[in-house]
Amino acid sequence: MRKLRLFSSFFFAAVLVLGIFPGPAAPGPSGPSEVQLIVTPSNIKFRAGPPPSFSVCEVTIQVLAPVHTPWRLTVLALGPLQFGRSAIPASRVTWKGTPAPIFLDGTLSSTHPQLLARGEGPKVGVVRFLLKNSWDLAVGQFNQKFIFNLSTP
Amino acid sequence: MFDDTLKIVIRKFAGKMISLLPLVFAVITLTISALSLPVNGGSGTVTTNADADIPSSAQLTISPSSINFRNANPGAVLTIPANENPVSVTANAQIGEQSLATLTVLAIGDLISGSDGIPIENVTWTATGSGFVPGTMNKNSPVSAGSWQGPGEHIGTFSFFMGNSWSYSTGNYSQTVTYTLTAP
Amino acid sequence: MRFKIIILVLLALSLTFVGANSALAVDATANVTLSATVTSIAELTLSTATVSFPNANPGTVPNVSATENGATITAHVRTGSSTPASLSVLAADDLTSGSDVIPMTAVSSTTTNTSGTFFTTGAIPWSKTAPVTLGGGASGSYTGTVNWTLANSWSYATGNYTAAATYTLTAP
Repeated sequence: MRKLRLFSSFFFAAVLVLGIFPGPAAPGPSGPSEVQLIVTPSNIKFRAGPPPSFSVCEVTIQVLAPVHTPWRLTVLALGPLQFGRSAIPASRVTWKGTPAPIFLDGTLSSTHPQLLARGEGPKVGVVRFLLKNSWDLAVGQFNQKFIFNLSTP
Repeated sequence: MFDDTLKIVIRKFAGKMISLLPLVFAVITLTISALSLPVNGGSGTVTTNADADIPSSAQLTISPSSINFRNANPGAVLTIPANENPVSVTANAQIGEQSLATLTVLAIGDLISGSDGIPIENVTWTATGSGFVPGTMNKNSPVSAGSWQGPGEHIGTFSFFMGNSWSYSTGNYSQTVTYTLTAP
Repeated sequence: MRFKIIILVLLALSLTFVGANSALAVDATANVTLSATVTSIAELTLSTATVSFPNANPGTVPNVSATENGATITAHVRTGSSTPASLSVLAADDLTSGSDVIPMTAVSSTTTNTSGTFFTTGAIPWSKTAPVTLGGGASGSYTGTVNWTLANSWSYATGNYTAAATYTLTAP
């Protein structure tokens, strides 16, 4: 029991020392935390059916912010979805955000960040990403990274 | 007596929980930190992996699916065009960029009317549309009717013809041919 | 060591499975029904429409050959496999010259098959009372050579005799 307590305390201390502790309680280099972005799940998976069809992946987005603190959330693909030399343009991915008007509908881009949501204070929304499958897409296990960027004035 | 025992159990359990609290808290912290990133009065990002699994698919449409050859005097009409010519064909294949989609046709047998038959090789077709090819029906082995590299939607037409002959016995002949689009 | 082997085996199995899955071909099929209608049809051609028998001495020429002998007959026919086509000839009347008569039975024809087997071989006497069968068979395209013969006789009265006869090719 003593060993277990010792290990737990040491582990927690290590987490704090290494600075992994997130959220408003963790002071950052530029001052106290004000807003926090949580995207779940961390993997967006599309399982395409026979064309023409849309495959859907639902993502919950949680913005933790003090009341009346305005924020903007954008999303950007780091490039087309790639599988070897095959590619699916980022624009094949669209989304529908709820609740409106905080969470918006849009089309993904790999060149310009697209506005996904804007609001004030803490908000939770659901974004349904849709991948349009059509006969011109090659088969494969495509992959790309999406960057969600939360900014405050 | 029972109350005392219960208290001891609860106390032991609580003690164990308290000792584990830092560990539980640290694990929760790490989990949250993996999914979120604090924004400290400026901006911050969360990166997610996006995966799209596109499996092979194939779709073949031939319309109309009933092809009829009218009666004609073999002395005047050597080749009878099908009434439905041209027949629309759509061959959609979702395959790899370097893969080859193939369209083949195989007749189940000769044109049959009771015990009479017209050899299926008397039926030929011409084709329009990129990748579609003309050919002659065969009941023994599949005959190519088209091929395409890479994924895509392919639209074309087939026009069917039957060689006419005095040697045919009278009757109403029919046979089924099967087109197969293969997406490897 | 055993643990490593197990891991390697599992890895190999998983790779095999992934390979098989990615190589899975997908087929789409479409059935098309072909139909053809074939009905009866018959076409008969004879290279001559007139048959002439020259005058001849019955003592030396008992059978007079027609001037047009060697004519070509062609029968194109489509019929049912269980209902053979038939070729027949029927004279409208006897050979007549005014009131004089040579019986049609004095006329006979012989047809030789040159393409296919359709025409009945051997001399076949004609009739004015009932069609005389000259051949028959299944669907096909047939060609033959025809020779006509008139049985000569001292009893015939002089004159220019004529008669009409009709060839009929029937595909039931």
